[in-house]
Amino acid sequence: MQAFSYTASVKLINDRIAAFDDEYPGVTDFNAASRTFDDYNTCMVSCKTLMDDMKGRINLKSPKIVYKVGSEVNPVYSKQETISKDWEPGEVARLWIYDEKMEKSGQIHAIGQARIYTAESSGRPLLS
Amino acid sequence: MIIAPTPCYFLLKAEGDAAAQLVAELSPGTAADIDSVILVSSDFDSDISAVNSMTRSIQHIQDCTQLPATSLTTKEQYNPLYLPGNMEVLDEMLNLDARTDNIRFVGMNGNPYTLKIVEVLNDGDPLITAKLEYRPFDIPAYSDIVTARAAALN
Repeated sequence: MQAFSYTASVKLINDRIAAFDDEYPGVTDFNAASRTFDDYNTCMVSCKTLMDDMKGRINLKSPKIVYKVGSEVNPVYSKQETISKDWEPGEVARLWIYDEKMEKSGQIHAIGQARIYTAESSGRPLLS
Repeated sequence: MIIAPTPCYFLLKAEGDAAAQLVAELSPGTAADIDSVILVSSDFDSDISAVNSMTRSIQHIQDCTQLPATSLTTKEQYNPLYLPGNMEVLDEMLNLDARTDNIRFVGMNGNPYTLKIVEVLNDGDPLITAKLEYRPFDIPAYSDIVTARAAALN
């Protein structure tokens, strides 16, 4: 039986306004590690929800830049080329929070990244 | 006592209920899915401000968890390198290597740049671990620290 988990890292600071500043003064980096999920869909939905919520929080404090969430699936599974070239063994997908204005220019400015991993039946991530 | 010439920052790790409560503020729907969270601050020029911000963050998480105070244990440790006080307290953090005559800093998990460590346990299980560190700099020789400490106390 396969299992899945994810990690998420988000820069909370933008235009010198920390999205977290009221409760956690000075905090600019958020890093989370998920529990283990039994199936990919539940893991992906959780990861996407977290990244969407973080994006929403950042956009509230970001009057000039609008961020959006995008995703990529490891070409090993999708057989489609991705912008990311540094896929790790066991990594299934990535989600990004990035400045949507940069999308067309090809110079994507990401402030958040989440990685979904597949794990062994023992529940231990292949990468740790 | 030495005065660090570099800025400092803090790291805060929340586990269990603390991680869930922290994530619930940002993403309520995923709070139960997160095992641990690590927050990292920006650099502070003032270590007093950094200590205050770290303390406020810890207190905020503790307040949100609403765990009974009787189940919580808080351990705080300051690095005597950066505080005025008895030289013996600092000596307890040092280890003399007889083979090389080197003095090694073994306190604060072996990191001389750590100013403060806070551990909050819930019935013995880790809930919050926070660490405040200076950015690395050249630490003065032991003899200089002793001299500076004596001068501060005179």
